[in-house]
Amino acid sequence: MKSKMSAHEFEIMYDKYKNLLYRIAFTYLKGNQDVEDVLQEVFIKRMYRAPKFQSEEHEKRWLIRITVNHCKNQVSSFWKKNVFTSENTTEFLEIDQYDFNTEESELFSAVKSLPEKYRITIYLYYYEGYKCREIAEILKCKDSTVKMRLKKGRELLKSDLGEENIYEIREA
Amino acid sequence: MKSEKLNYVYKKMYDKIEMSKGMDEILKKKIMSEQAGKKTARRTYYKAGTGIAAAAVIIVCLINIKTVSSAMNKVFNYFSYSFEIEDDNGSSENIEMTTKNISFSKNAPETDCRFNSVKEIGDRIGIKLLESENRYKYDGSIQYTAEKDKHGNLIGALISDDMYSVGDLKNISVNKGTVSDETDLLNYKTTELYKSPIMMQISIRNETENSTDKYTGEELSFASKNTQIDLTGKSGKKHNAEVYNMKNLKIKAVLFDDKTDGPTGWGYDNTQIKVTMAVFVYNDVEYIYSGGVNHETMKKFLDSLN
Repeated sequence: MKSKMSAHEFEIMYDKYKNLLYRIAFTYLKGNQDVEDVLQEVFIKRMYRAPKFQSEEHEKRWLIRITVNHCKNQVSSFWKKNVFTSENTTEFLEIDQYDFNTEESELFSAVKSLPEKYRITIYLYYYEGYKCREIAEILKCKDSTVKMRLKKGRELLKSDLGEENIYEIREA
Repeated sequence: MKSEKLNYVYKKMYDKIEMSKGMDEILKKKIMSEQAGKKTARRTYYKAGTGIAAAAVIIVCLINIKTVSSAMNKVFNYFSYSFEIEDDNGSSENIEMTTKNISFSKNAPETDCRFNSVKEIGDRIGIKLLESENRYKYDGSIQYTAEKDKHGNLIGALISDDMYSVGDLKNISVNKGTVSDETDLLNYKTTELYKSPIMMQISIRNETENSTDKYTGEELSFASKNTQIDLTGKSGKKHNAEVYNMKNLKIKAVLFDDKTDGPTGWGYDNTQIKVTMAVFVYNDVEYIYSGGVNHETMKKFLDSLN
């Protein structure tokens, strides 16, 4: 199958989106190897089977959606979730991997302990700045589902970080 | 952490989450190789355990892929892996799991869909699949996922049900997903025997001359999805592995313990429970069952399959 992009076009696209998609995959997956697998599939899909995009934003949302789908496939297999988490493995995404200060480490732990559906919704809302309606479009679910997930996600963060910390998070 | 800073900290934290240079280089190289028409492996499929400790129950997973050559390309026609289980006396038993490619009938579904029974799916594919007389029935409970390669060829199927058997769970009701990407949720009261339903996953690979490109068949296998397997020493003992001779089917299943929050349908968000997993191959097809039951209850369930 012939790629729809030249090597140069690919490199530009790859550099533009690699960290965005890495963060998306990161919100779902626990292992670096899984993240790498998913991103490989997503970028290959982008090269060979992407539709014609109307705008950069259209391309970005398509990539987010495809990454989410691949991540969900990756975690949907029951035994992928927690079955064999070897205690001395070095392949898992560890907190030390990033240059976090204490506050960020605390928040990182709280975010990582959220169920994945809340993590991705909170990420798209608070980091990428999407509105509930846009998130619903990207995740192919209802506005009300997004709002419910934001509410529940905030509640879980609140209980993890402490009562007073979460109130200032932008309300949906 | 002061409350007014939380949004700010969240953004700053995520700003620091970036792909490592190592992953960046590997990924780019793999994708560019793909573009150049070279086949790239998604991951290493083998990780053998070492350092067997005395008096421990140990599983070592070994993977062996046999190939036959066809005129145009290599077709993997069977896939095998083995569990080595050592008892407290130090004697070990090697259980080999070998799944073979099966020729799907023309009626095999080519898209993801739901069925009311495993038998219906078996009829469509053209093979006999095992069904339990103790399964929990509701409309569309069995998910059929069609596995395709990038050319759209049907290369296999994954059949699953998160609530395949509910045993003696009480006050059961199903909340069907309200949107397409949400799974069904089961509401239930746990009992002494069942702390969760038993879920099922059946993996079947299609024998097709078109199964080219990256697909080698091992993706649809328990072993390939467990590259983190290292159940030696203390870890092996913790998993309490044993071999069970299934009474009806006269085959061996490997049973072992684990802790997990299970699939979404169980409703155990964030709470890990102890489960028993059972893996076996029957008529070249791999079956996996897992649930919050003890080994004896799982054995009874396995004996209900026919």
